[in-house]
Amino acid sequence: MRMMFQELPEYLFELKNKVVFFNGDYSPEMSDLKLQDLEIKQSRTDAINLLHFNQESQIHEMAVSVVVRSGCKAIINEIHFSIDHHSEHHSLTQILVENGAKLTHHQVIAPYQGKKNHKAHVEVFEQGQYQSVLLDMGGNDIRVEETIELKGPHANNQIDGLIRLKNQERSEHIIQVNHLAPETTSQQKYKTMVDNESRAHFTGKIYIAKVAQKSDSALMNKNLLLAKKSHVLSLPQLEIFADDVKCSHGSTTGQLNQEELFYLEARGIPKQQAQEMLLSGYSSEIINKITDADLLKILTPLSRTHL
Amino acid sequence: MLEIKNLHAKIDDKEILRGINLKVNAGEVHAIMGPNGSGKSTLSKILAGHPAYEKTEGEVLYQINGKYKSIDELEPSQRAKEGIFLGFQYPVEIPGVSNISFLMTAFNELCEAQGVETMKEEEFRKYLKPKLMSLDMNESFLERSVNEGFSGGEKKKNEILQMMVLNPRLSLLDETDSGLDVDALRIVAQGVNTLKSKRNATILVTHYQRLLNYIQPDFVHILYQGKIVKSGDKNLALEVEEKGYDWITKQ
Repeated sequence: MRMMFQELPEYLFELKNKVVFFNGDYSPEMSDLKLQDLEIKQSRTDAINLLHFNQESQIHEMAVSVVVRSGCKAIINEIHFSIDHHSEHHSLTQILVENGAKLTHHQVIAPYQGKKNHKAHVEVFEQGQYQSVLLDMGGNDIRVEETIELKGPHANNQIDGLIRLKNQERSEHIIQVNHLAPETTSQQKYKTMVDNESRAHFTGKIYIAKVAQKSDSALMNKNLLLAKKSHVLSLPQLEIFADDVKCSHGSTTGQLNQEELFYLEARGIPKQQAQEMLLSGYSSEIINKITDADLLKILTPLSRTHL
Repeated sequence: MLEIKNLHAKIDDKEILRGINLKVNAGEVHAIMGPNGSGKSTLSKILAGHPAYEKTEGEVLYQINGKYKSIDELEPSQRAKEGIFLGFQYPVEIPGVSNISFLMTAFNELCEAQGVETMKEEEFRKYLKPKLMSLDMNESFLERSVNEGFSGGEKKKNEILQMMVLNPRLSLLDETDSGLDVDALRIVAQGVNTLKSKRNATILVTHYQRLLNYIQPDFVHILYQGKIVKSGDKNLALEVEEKGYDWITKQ
């Protein structure tokens, strides 16, 4: 199943002339990179783009594996999209970040038709860094499960997630971070906006093993309810077996701040537009973490309506 | 320009304003003074259309296109476009929204409402430059989130900057002097004085007489328990400074 750029949604055209893999299959128009090059042996400054898509009504499964070798740096943009609401897509991305390596991982679930089930499994070794930004722009049935294992001393994980749902959309995010070595660090922040009758579920768990002394971890889930019938379920959890760690978790759920809204309105900005400004302000904290300019170009038209 | 007749207003079923009468003409500066809890802030909030405050009786008439009209039905943003400006006592911090995009959105909304051409960012920055300088504000303020992490004085200067950008007909400045040191107070007052003209009016809401040393009021009103209990010229403010509010409220 090979896809050409002409068949893609317009917003993905920005990736033309970039390194792109479609459903694990290498795009022939692109440079000479092969799928096995996802074993990254040399640092790369340009992003590798992985596109997961479904073009027809069918159940599709795929797995991608990425290895970032010792000391190397790479950026991966992983974009999930589907334009067929009868489709079903199951994907698994396995990632190894070796000693001293750094992977910046941008995950985007573009407005999604059909069912999406994604799993990411990440292992980070000594001094390795895994930085991830996840944007979920909503779909009928989305489930994302991420497991991050910090396996070597000083391994670090940072995830910033943004989820915006509307209408009857459903989305579930489950994240587990396992601190399995001493002095490992992790920061997880998920921000959610639910409008209309949409529902978002978040389960975040930090596990700190007995050996993982002096680990430092924080988990935060912030939710904005934008309509009376919108719904959020937030389950932040800690499981700590070491006795010398710094660990925090929290969850807040609220509505748009009426004083902020009035302030903008009092300057002549109509209510609807003022709300959009506040929401984009709320999102920007996460979106600003994205470091790839091409990806930001793709997101600009989408973010007007979906972020 | 503004005529308030027998205005009663409440918040959360608590009556705060109990029959305010006030007439403000173009070119005038009015100071509204009064002890804490007298209803000063409520008056400015209700004029700007804050949704938490509810008018229960009376009329607020404002001159639009030469005619006095009730502003009851106007949304806060429509009032702003008609030239009513509220300088907040506690300017609100808005994380993630840059000051420049906030100012430019507000400015261009106004341009559109008035049927004049909007400005692109580059042009708008040039337009802002002298205003920033006059307020002794660094250009880096434009890149920061609205009021976030600003000091008390910086927030108040930012209010005056917004006022300069929107060039309102009726400015309601709610405790603009609070939280300002002497230097900042002088700069802020200068900003207000520069904007003063024959076509606009200013209402200064203040607890202390201090601000009135810098901005000369034509009229001073003392608000107490939701009513204007005494009006006079600037000497009334001096009298309050000397004797406190007691001599009026005990009458």
